[in-house]
Amino acid sequence: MKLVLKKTASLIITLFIVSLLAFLAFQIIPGDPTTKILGTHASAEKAARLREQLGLDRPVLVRYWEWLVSFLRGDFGTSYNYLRPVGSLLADKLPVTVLLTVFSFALTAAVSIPLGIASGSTRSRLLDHLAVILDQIVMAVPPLFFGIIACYVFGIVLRWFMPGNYISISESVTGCMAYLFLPALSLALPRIAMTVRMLRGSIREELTKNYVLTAQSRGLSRGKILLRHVFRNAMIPVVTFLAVSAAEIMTGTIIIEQVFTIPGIGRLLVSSIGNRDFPVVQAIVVLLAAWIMIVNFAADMLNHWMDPRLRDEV
Amino acid sequence: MKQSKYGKKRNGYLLTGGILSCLVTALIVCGFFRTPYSTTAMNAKEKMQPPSWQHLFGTDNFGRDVFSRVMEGAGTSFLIAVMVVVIGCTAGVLIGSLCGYFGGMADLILMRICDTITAFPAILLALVIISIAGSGVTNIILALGILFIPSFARVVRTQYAGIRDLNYIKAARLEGIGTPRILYAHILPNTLPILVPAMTIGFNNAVLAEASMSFLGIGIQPPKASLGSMLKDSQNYLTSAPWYALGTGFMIVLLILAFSLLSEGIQQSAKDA
Amino acid sequence: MSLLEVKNLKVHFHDAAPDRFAVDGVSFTMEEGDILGLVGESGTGKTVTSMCIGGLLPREKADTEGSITLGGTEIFDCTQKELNRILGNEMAIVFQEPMTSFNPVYRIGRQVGESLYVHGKGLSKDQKKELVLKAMQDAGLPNAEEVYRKYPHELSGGMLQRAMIAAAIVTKPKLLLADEITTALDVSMQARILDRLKRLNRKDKVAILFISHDLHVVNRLCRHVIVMQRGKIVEKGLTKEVFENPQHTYTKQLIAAIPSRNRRSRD
Repeated sequence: MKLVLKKTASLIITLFIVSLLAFLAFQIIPGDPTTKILGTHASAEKAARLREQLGLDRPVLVRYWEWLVSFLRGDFGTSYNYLRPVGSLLADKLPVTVLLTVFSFALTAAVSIPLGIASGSTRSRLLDHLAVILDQIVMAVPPLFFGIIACYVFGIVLRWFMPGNYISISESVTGCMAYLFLPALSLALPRIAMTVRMLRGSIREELTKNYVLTAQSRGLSRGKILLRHVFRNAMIPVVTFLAVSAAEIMTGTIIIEQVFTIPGIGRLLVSSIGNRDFPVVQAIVVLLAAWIMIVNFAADMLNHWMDPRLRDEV
Repeated sequence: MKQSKYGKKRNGYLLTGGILSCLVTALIVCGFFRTPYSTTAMNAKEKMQPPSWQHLFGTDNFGRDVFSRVMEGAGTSFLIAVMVVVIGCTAGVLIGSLCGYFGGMADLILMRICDTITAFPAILLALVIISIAGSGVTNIILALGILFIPSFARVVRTQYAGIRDLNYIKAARLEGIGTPRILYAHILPNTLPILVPAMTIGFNNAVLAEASMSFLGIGIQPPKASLGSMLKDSQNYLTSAPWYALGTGFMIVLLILAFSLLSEGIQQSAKDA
Repeated sequence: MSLLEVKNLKVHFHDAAPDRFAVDGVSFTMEEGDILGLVGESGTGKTVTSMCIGGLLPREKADTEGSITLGGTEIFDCTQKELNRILGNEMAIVFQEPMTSFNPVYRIGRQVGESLYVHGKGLSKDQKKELVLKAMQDAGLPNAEEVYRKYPHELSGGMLQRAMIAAAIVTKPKLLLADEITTALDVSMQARILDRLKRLNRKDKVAILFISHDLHVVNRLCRHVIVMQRGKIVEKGLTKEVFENPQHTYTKQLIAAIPSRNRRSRD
């Protein structure tokens, strides 16, 4: 319990630092946002009024504090480009991205763990070779390219879905999931290949450990040894890796949303970078960062639960 | 891995990886000097031709030869990725070796920073940097290069911290060999088994990151060919010229696969030796 | 019928030279309640012999010849299933490295009671726990209740090795294979463990095949001894006689190699 508190405290501190860095990063950008909004011909008076309105006339740390407080309240600032609260811009886009991420992550975990276990514990050399080759190839296909192939094969040749014709979850739950399946799969495939490879290596490694011999000497069958002894140990590094995957998948959505024209925050992020609409970029970056840290935190906790040796360090 | 008669293992990775890498490198190097067709000249008559013996990967919407453009694009991606790895690795080795060898407060702080940076996917941070600093080849290389430093530094540091106290290093110190020589002539070669795969992974990630950024329109700008920007282009003509996307994507896969297999092969043979 | 009969055991590893046998024609027998020492320097095939007896030698790595019978059952003819019924039940094994022989993520109690999980089908949870605690006490572990709940990394090597012995005797096996079990421990811990093994042997009539490169330890524990060199038995007999009147030069060398202070302390 003490450990959970400690870890939570360190999570909060890191989040705090990341938010500060994210805030400061956007303060050093050359160029005045008022010119961006009002154009270069606006009067100095008008610009000053806007600066005041946007709160740009006060010291940086004060502005950071205010920004942080309002951020925590759910007020993410005002978009330079749309002159609308960033929160309202994100409101209908964030759930789409989160849905896609969760879907893809669930796919990764659900496919890679059984496959990794199977390929890690198989004694068939042929199957093992096949798994290794398949793994290498799948790992080399970027989600971006797989997404495009999927669009071509399933969208244009087979006409199973209309690329670009996103179905929102409020329209139809099954329709939405069906549309998100291919993007989720594109993101998941290389992660699946990597996780399978890692889990296989991990299981192989654990199988050479002495405790396996001990278990054998007690009359446990191979299946029982795998189940009772090897899996938990083998999963420890994989859990950390899955957390990294969850972060990578979330970032991957930025690109996959472009490929499949899904109205998530990825598209908003890209257009905002193009428009130099920094409050939007800032909010998205901080949200993504928070997501990544929380996922890592969860993996950390899971590892501590799985590996008693970690509980004594701190 | 097959066991041959003499107990020496046949290394399939090294063979396939080696052949593919040679092929890819040859294509890229060749592309720097000469491509079968001009990569920029447009030809309305030859618009969107399917693959043929004249145009191996067909032509694009401007009648440009896709294969020639893929060669150039692969060259751009390759150069960027190599530069990124060179920057990341050099700086990473420098920081990692000093931190690992000397330890202390600076080590602690630098490694914490590295941990924080590596917790974030490189593409995300690169996008932020590019959005602030503006796009362009140099900025992409610098942004990715800097972002790749921590992963190298961490790997190198762990190695140095482990080797630092070994007896042969102590012996070298007692012999009065200078610290730089110990750091880079005695310890560095020992980190290679870890450093080589780290470099391959870095290379792959850099290729992917560049392709992703160019695809998003924040990387290499047309008319310069890069695999990412070509992929983005090709997506608009998926119905009429699918070979455009397939050829480009195939090259990305080949580029990544070739060097991953090669690195895997090198690791295998190092392990067996 | 003897408890254990090893007849003309030969083991050849696939990656070794064609004429190099890891175990080369080893034969011996053990009766119920025997303590037999198996000595020799490292690489003489002691461990391979014990792995064969336990049926733990991977069949794809080595060819075996000869016969090993435990209570009349031929080990080499057993299917894996039949073997699993014997292992941890009639025959138990304790290995050299107590630190790595435990699974790091599970509590000691669960691992000590594992043989009961496999073989003690009719027992209730409480009965199993009671047996585990009893075995721990028999193996010389103080405050067994506490150790039961510990994780392996929280215990010392000596504690772990005693827990390992407890795990081996929890099902009251007829034969205990002890492979260099005191090698990783300090001298006083060695003495305590040897003492425990003697007591177990007397109390429960457990036969112990004690493998060691340490003649001194073997001399303290075993009534009979076998000396092995390069896969072959070079000398066997009552420990006392072998020690006082070694016939083979190798045995003489081994005895001469014992530090003198140890030799004096046994008198």
